[in-house]
Amino acid sequence: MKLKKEASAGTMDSCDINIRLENNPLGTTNEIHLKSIVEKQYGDHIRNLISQVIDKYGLESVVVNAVDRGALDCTIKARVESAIQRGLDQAHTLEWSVVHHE
Amino acid sequence: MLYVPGSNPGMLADAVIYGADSIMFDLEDAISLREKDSARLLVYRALQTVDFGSTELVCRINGLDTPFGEKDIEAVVAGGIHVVRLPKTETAEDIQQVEALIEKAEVKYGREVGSIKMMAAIESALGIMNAYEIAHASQRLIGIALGAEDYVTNLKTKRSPGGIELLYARSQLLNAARSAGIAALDTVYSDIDNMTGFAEEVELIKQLGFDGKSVINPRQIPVVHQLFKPTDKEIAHAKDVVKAIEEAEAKGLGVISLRGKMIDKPIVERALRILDLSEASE
Amino acid sequence: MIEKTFTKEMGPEDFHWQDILNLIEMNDIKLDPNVEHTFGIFKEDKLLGTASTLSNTIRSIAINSQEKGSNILGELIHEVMQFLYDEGYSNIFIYTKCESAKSFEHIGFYEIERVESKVVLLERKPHGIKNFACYLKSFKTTHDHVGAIVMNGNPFTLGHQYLVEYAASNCDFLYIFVVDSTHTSFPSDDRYKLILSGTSHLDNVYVIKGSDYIISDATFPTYFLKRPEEGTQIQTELDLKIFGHYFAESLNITKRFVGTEPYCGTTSLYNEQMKRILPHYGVEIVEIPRKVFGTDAISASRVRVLLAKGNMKDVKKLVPESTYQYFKTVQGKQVIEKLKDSTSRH
Repeated sequence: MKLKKEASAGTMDSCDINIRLENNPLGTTNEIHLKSIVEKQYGDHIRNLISQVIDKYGLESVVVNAVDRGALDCTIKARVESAIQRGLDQAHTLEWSVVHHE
Repeated sequence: MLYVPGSNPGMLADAVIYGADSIMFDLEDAISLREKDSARLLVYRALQTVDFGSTELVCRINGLDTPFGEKDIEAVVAGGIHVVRLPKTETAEDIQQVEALIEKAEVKYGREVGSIKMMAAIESALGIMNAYEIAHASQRLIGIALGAEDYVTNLKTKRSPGGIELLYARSQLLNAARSAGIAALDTVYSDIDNMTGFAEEVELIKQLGFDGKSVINPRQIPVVHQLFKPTDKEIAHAKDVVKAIEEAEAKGLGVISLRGKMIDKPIVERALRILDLSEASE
Repeated sequence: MIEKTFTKEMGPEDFHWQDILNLIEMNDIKLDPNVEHTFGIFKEDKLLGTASTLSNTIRSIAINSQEKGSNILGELIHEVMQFLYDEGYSNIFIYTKCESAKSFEHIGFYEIERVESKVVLLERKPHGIKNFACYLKSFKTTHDHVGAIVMNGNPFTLGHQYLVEYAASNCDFLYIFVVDSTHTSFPSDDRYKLILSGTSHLDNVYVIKGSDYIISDATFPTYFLKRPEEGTQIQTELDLKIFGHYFAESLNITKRFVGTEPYCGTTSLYNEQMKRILPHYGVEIVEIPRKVFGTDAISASRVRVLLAKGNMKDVKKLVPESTYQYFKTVQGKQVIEKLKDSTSRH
């Protein structure tokens, strides 16, 4: 599945993470670009988490520009999901059981 | 009860450390229209993940007259909320509609039917006039609360330091709550820098009979706890009452007495309430 | 935690406008005169930072010195980006001093190119410029000698047409990149179409919209330079490095054609810079004397002056038929009216 449009979610306030999503105009792989204040300790963990959410929604070839300010895992998940739902034009229409299904 | 805007991850995660008895995640007034979707997701994920201990978790949803209310209910029920708080309640039907949606979501997400409680905020003259019907509208309802900002606007007045304009609403709401055996909660005090004014208002509503007050800043919590906290003498007496009950039960006695006085039901209830309050104020 | 910051758009009528100007000055920069929107971030009544925008660029960014190291820059830029995304821009650019580039990289911006110790250009898309280079590659030809012209075409004249015809006959294949600036009298799309029509008789010419990666001198910010008079030199260097690095490399361009401009200082400086920089990227500069009509070279500015005067008879002699026909359309007439209103423009 592809995004219908570019989309953002989250802020650059502390404890939050800002996510910007766009389709990858080249290639078919997902790319995650992360800037994080906790990169050394949690960089890989955050990238994995973002990647999992993208896979859950079956998205292919998206570019993620993430700016992390020390967000908790649940915040990271929520922000990526918000951005995806917005990018799919489903922010208020998505069946909640899709979100709920782990 | 501590208000936390549902759009702020830092506050969502930290809310538990301030020791409020309950936390209210707000999806309504504190959230701009463009962030309704993301706040809903954030609260949902926080509910699922963050360890809130024994804190009671309340979510103020958007009204069913908005495009967001229905999804809000589904999300917080799925997430594991304890109490759904409905804003701007005006009639008993408002409560029943929300109740039906909660039940549907309980079934869908495998939560025990009837386990999720409700609170209703009354924020208009019509709601105050219907307070009795609202308070009796559902078994799930555990409390009703006054939302004063919208209410005073509706009355065509504004809030004053003494709060004379709220006297009727507070009394009416309190009586409605008591007639249904549910809690009565007072409105927020918005001027976070005026701690003296805040303390005076807490004393006033305690004297009126309210069970608690909504706070918007962690700084206000100790004041509420301090004023609602029973005196040492009251606590000591209450502990004696409980001890007497236990002794009587151990001895298999039917009649309980303390220092030669018989303890009847209202005394026991009051003693338990004092111990509850004292524990809640720690 | 409770006293939230808030960001709002500001104007000279605002109570805090002077604070904005002071804050910018304290940061040793100026308010870019071209900006369209200015924002301030506040905590209660106190201004903590400011930033402005022009199209999809963020400019004149200043943060209160007491807030350095806090997250105010991130919060402010996030709000401004939100605004630009809502305006429909998909990529966002920042020009800044080299020493400030890191701060922007921390909040998710990526460097495109820099002029050492002078300026860095950053963009929000992680691979914006690389993706653009790949996009360009989709137009790559198999010809040996590939040339290029970068053109404003504001509007397309017989002078432009002569330059294109000359260039096209001196290489196997010619690309024309149209500068995608909103700061021209004629809208970008119209300029593009006029260049297309005016070159349609040449089959070895391909016209490409220049995108955000051709740096226009009209909008290049100089407010952060210690010596603003160096502005043109730095802008041209930045522009040419990007051209050499991405445009020329992607399309295997080995010649760049330009018209000589003995009378315009800016253009002749640009031509000098090209001769200095582009050979590093294997691109040769070919200067072509301007076509003359009467006693003067045919130029777009000469045509605009005549249009503003309403002298359509002389205009007709300086532009191709397709451009002339455009002037009769509703859109063309609108632009001419605007030219008449503001004859003071360059």
